[in-house]
Amino acid sequence: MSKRIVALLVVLFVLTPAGFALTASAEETVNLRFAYWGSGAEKEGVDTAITEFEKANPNIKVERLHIPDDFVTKLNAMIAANEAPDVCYSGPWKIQLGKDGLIYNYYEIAELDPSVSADDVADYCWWKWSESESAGPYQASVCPSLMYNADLFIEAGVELPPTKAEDAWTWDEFVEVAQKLTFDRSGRNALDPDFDPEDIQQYGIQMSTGWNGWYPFVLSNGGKYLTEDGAAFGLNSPEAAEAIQKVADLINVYHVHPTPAASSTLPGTATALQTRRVAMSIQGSWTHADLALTEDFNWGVGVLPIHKEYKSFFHGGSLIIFKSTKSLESALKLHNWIINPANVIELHKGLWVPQLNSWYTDPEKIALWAKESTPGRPVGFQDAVMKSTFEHAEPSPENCVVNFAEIDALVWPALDNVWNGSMTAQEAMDSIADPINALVAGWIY
Amino acid sequence: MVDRVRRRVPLRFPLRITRRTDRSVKRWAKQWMERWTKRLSIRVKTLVVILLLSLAPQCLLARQFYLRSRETLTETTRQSMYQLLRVNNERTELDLATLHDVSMNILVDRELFTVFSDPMMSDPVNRRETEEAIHKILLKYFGSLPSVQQVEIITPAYSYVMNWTRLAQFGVFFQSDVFQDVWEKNGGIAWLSSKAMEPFHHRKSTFACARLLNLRYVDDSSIGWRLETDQDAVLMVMLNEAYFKDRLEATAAAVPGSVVCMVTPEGETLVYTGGEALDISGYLPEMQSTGTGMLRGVAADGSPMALCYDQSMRTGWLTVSAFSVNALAEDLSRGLYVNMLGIMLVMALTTLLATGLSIRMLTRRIRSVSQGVDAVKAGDYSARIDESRCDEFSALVENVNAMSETLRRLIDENYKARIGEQEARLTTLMMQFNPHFLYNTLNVINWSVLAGRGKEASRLVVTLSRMLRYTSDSTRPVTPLREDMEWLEQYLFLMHSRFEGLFNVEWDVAPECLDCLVPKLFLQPLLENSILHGFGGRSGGGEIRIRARLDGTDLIAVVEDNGKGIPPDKAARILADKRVSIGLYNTHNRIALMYGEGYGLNIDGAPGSGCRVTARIRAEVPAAESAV
Repeated sequence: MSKRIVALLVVLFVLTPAGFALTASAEETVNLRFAYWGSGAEKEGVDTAITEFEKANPNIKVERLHIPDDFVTKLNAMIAANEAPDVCYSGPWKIQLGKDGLIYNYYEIAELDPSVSADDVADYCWWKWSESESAGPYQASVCPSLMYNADLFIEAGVELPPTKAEDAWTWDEFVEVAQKLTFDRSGRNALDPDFDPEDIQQYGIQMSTGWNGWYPFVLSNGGKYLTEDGAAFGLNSPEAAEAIQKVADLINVYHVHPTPAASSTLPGTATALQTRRVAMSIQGSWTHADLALTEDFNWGVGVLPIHKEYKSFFHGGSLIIFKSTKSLESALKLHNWIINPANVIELHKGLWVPQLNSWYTDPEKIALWAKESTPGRPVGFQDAVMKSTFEHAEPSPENCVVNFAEIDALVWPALDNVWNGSMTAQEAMDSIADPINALVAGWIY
Repeated sequence: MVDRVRRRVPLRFPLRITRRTDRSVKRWAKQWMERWTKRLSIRVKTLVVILLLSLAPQCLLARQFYLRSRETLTETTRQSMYQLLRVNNERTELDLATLHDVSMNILVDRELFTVFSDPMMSDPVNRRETEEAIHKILLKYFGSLPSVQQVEIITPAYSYVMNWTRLAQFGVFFQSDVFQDVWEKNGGIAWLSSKAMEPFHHRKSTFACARLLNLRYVDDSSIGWRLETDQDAVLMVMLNEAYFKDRLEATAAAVPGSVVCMVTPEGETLVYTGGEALDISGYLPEMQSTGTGMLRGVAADGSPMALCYDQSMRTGWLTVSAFSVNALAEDLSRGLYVNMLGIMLVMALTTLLATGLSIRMLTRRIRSVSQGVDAVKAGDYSARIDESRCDEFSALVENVNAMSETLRRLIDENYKARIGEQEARLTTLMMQFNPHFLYNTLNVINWSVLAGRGKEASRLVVTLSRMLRYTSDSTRPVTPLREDMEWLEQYLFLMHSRFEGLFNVEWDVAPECLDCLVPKLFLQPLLENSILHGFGGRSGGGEIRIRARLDGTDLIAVVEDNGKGIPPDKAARILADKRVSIGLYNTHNRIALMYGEGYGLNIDGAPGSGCRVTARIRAEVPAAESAV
């Protein structure tokens, strides 16, 4: 009798681990491949997020392919070799991949993973190749931001830039402030009649000469990249040309902005502000991450100046999911994990801003990334950057203009002539209108 | 008997050992054994037993040690072989990874794309140009790779090569299974075994990797375009077997006699060292499932074999090395056996020494005991064995000594007493049959008869008869004094008759003594001494006084005479030496034996002043009478 009991116990004992083994193997390991570029803090942030993802999903293993150089060439080689990654970073070339049917339309697969709701994505924060087809929401957003060296303002006795959109400077006010903060080596500011524009020590303003620098002002003046119906080029409209011209005038008329030549001698934005080469800077908000690393530097943010209405926009990159993936659900999980601000929260404290509505409306979430008086978020940030952009956002030109990459490839060389003063904005834009119109294919948004 | 011996017993061929003979052999062997074991000393037996007992575990230990060492050696070799294999496999993996990447990167080569996007590409007119162009491109990518022997881009119309020496013919390639496999992978890399490549090779086939040539073009704005073409092309990279074999040989060199090979998961051999490819098909399933590790196997000839293997992550190809365990252990055995024998010899010697010494200690002790017993056996009852040591033998030694003591006591008390008793009896008997006394007394009787004194003669005869009756009763060694006195009176009467007028006797016996038990005739020698020696040479005037009285617990009897006397030194000698006066000596010893120390005779007397002999005995009264 006792022998039988022992035998029974032995059998049970043996079966139980076997049972465990069976159930364990029922959940097979999924192997995903994720390709990305980026370095420094961004790479760290993404790496950490992926590690956390693997911990939260023990049956998914992510092979990281970090490709800092020649990303597109290598990606294409992988595509050609039928070895495309499951999820990866992408540039505007994703549109062609979408048209070629190599990547998923996010709208079609979004409900497979509810961790990110497509409805929560802020307006316009999508990369689409057609009205109804999207590569996916922004991985994270950035926006144009006005940053300044507060000490320079205080010393010059100039009022600090406003932080609320409704208090924004007019363009003329803005110019005057810039003049007060532009000094030549003799210490004369730009309003001084003896001011020497050939010998400028400190510039009042430096802006990005890319579309993320001047396009907000085109929009503020009532202009648009294309005509309203999207049928033709829009930057040669009077409003748009005027706005662009006024930016150029900062350089050539008021001398408050460095010439292209002088710009090439200036250091990066954060350093330029800190070393008092520049008093104000309008650049991408990713600069906040650089400024967060400075020590003993009194900097601040303010709203952009306006012509007529306050306008701004978000822009950013997105991930793509290849149709060759063997496990769509897991790939989507990974995708949504990485773009969720909660998983890369450190990066949203300076480098990026969220692309989901709830992060602009839920006070708890706001406190996570936009808490003021933290290194990347000076006092006034929530008004000057967060709210002003969120409440006045337009679609970014690279997302809403069909064939944007090709069109922009013609625009920026033409603008060089405007910055160096050899052509007016209107002339320059008119000169490229025809080739561009050949490329124009309407709005995506 | 003689007849039986003489009779011949016929021999039977073949000589069979029957059961009976067998049994007798056994019996004889047993007898022989018994004889020898009984003959051998304990020392030898112990030595032999201990030697055998210690050798057995030593042999066992030696064998275990050998097995363990062999195990360790095999394991160590296996481990290092495995590590080497892994290291070399990592290098191979790198080579394969390079092939993978290079063959992937060539798919986005702009020049190649341009060549293939030319619709006139396959026109034989352009062949030379196209061939030259493709040749250069292939060289650019694969030219510097040592693992590559030849690269070809195979199209239905023509094959474009990297090296001008063609190895293979790809005529019917596009109908083959290989192409089917490559096509299904759609640009992904296919790893092909030499067997799969056999149909295309002229002579010796090599293993290879291949991709469907899915070309893409990446323009300046980073947009990638796929080559639209209706003809399939395959990139075929044939690998350099010698290059991989060199690496395997380097691994094999680590362990002499080992072989290394590279096989596909299906068991097809790609490269191998040594003369022949190893047959490891039996082990493939396990190797496949674990991917890397070590195994124990059996070679074709049945000897144990150790296997190490590592699998390539990319291709699934297994690199396996194997060596024979026995070959490895051969060197080990020789050295080990010599060492073990040496150790065992040393151990045997030390054991012998140790055993010898301890046995010596034992036998010495035993010998001392037996010597002590020998002494006692020889009659020295006071011999004792040295008890100063305190070891396991002390108890025995004490017991033997105690036994000797007991023996001595018993002998002294009982044996000597008995002998004394017997001697006394003997004396009594002697006295009884003393021819002189009888002779003289008979003489006196004869004279009386001749003298006509018939009544006197009759009285003499009767008295003698009574005396003889008394003395012949030897059953009682002690009698009441009263009876002994009676006898003495008769004796004296006879003596009076013999020596008429020589002496007078005076009796002074305390009445309380009369019941005391005294040794029979113990005073007779004293009286004889006085009469014969004290009055010797005289003819009258002798006075003998016999006294007896109690003195405490003792009875003192004194015989005094006024005879010649006796010199003091002679008196002392009498009691010590029986030759001087046998009667007195015997009487003294008899009394001493019977009653112990302090009892016996005491002789006083000086020459010319008579002699006084005092006899002291214990006053013993018969128990029955005291009850009365």
